[in-house]
Amino acid sequence: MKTPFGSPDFFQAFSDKRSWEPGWMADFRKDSWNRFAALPQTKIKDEKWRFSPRARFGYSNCDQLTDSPKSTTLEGKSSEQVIFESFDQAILDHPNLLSILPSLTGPKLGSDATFLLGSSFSESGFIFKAKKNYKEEEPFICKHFAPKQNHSLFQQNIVIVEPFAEVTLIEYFDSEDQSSTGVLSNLSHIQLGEGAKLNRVVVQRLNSHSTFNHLEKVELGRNAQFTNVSLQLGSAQTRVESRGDIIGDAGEFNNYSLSLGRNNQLFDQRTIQHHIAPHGKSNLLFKNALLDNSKAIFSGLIKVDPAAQHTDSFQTNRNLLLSKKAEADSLPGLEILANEVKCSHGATTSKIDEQELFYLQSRGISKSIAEKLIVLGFFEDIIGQVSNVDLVESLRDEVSQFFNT
Amino acid sequence: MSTLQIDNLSASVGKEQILNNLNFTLPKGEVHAIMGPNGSGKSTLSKVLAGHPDYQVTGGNASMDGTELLGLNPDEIARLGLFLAFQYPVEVPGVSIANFIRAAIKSRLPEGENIKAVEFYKELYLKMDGLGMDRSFTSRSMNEGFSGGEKKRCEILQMSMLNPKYCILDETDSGLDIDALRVVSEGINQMKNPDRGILVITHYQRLLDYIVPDKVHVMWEGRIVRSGDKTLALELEDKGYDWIKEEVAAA
Ligand SMILES: Nc1ncnc2c1ncn2[C@@H]1O[C@H](COP(=O)(O)OP(=O)(O)OP(=O)(O)O)[C@@H](O)[C@H]1O
Ligand SMILES: [Mg+2]
Repeated sequence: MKTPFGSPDFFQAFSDKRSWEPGWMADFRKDSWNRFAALPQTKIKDEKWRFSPRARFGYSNCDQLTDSPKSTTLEGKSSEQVIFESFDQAILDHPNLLSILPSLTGPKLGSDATFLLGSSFSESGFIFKAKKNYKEEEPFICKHFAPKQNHSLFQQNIVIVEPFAEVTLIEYFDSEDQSSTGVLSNLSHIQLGEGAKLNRVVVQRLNSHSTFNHLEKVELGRNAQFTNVSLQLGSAQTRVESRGDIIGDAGEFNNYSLSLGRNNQLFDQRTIQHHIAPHGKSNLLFKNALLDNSKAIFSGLIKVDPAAQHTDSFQTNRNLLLSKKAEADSLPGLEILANEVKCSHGATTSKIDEQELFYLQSRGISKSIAEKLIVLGFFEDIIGQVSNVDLVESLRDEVSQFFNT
Repeated sequence: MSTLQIDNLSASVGKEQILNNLNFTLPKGEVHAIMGPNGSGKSTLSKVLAGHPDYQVTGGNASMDGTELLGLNPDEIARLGLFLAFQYPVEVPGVSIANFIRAAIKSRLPEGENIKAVEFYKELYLKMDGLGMDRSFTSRSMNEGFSGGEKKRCEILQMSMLNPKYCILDETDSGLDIDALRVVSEGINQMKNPDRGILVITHYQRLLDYIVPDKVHVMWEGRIVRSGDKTLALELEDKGYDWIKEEVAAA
């Protein structure tokens, strides 16, 4: 990857700016940066980038780092039982929490460079920790902002839900203006202890010039349950890499995502549901509705290790094309090394149903509103996964809004 | 002028001519029935009037209260006041009955004006009660997994919520059990009024015992080949269509 971020002078200047950081953090950055600098040239043919116009995810036009986007805001009930702080604040307040950084590996689904750049240059993000047995229905909310014109911003999120805690986290990704070309790269490390439960919602509505890299790795302990619902609505291009590792017995990983694209928007999605322990469940449903020239790529793998007997795992990708020029590529995959498992995967791509469209129109509904209703209907089984009714209504509005702008 | 007026209408799908110089007039305030053998073009006629894009009009005119319908978009035709209860209603996954009907009503309101939710639900529930539909249906996806009879009731529910000027009911009676036929027919009868024309397409005299037509027409090979009063339906029930086909062939 050709970027100025690989130059020693650039890294030195960054380190100077961050001279207030403790030595262990500086060491971590230095080590990450060395690994970045040592990365081999990108291969022309890389299965992890199959179908992807990879050049669109480069950093070459956004070669300045920003330390001052509109700062991330955090909202939620404050409690002795919770830590919810910005990344920078946590470096000072909770070095022990951040000490896991060197051991984190990310999703490893193709964006090694972005992962190592994020480890080297992260300046925002948050740390969230729910202590043992803590239960709160009210969601914790984080609002992230994209960087300025020609800038890149790297974020680290660390989310730790201790045993038997149950929490909801909502993350919004927004742009401050409608014209800036910037790259926002977010690395999320999510760890759930025994019996912990995390409901997480992601709403991405970056402006139509931005690039979004969303890399996450979720690790589930025994009986832990993770449910994610993502709405990918904005950006020029978004690369999602999501890994769910079921490490403890009977962990449950649910990953639901919808993308709604128009113009030349690109959604490049790579996922893995990795069953390491037995009796685990995982369910993945990614739906993409594509207008104009927009494009979606979905590549998903269900991997079941020999020890992961009695796994139930499902993976589905559905694409709805609303224009002749829209395009969807789907690469579902299974790699099953245990024999007592229930696994299935499937992918479909279909055009909008003309009879359905006519039916709505025959009731007086205009074609554009009919398309909106059909798309909302198509997404209903994603949005419906959210249990909070007010939140469900607001997510439907997010999708509706897309058609109004 | 207060008519649904069809003059010399011809239409085809692909290379196949289905409607041939069809003439038909439905005045406001009247109920007409069209009967006819399978494949004679009854559903095609209703879909052509509703603006279905699969059919090409190759000749003639169709107007509603003086406004030409042919060439308009389906949604424009509907907003002008034509309602078609489909023979085979379409499933719309993920769109609830309530949201669907709200969108249809909203499409008739001036820009910026909104539906009053309380009144909307009051009216909707009242009409569902009348049609013997369980209120829980409002949150179900339109027609998805509905039984044949449930779909037909749902068509009538939409019709009654949208207050059309002209209604075409394409085999609304098929798929209904005996009790449902009575309930749905009552629903249709309640829609009868001097400012509304109703056209029922049916195969069965039974429906016409409930919804007594002012006129009965027979369609064959894409044309209306005979018209009469309600006794024509009884005659058809008795004798079938062969005698009419023979008469047409002889003429
Ligand atoms: N979209 C279409 N594509 C091809 N053929 C069609 C299409 N629509 C109608 N037809 C043909 O046109 C003819 C008339 O069909 P139509 O559905 O109008 O008949 P109908 O009178 O409603 O019959 P029924 O009593 O069985 O409902 C049939 O031969 C049918 O196969
Ligand atoms: Mg028919």
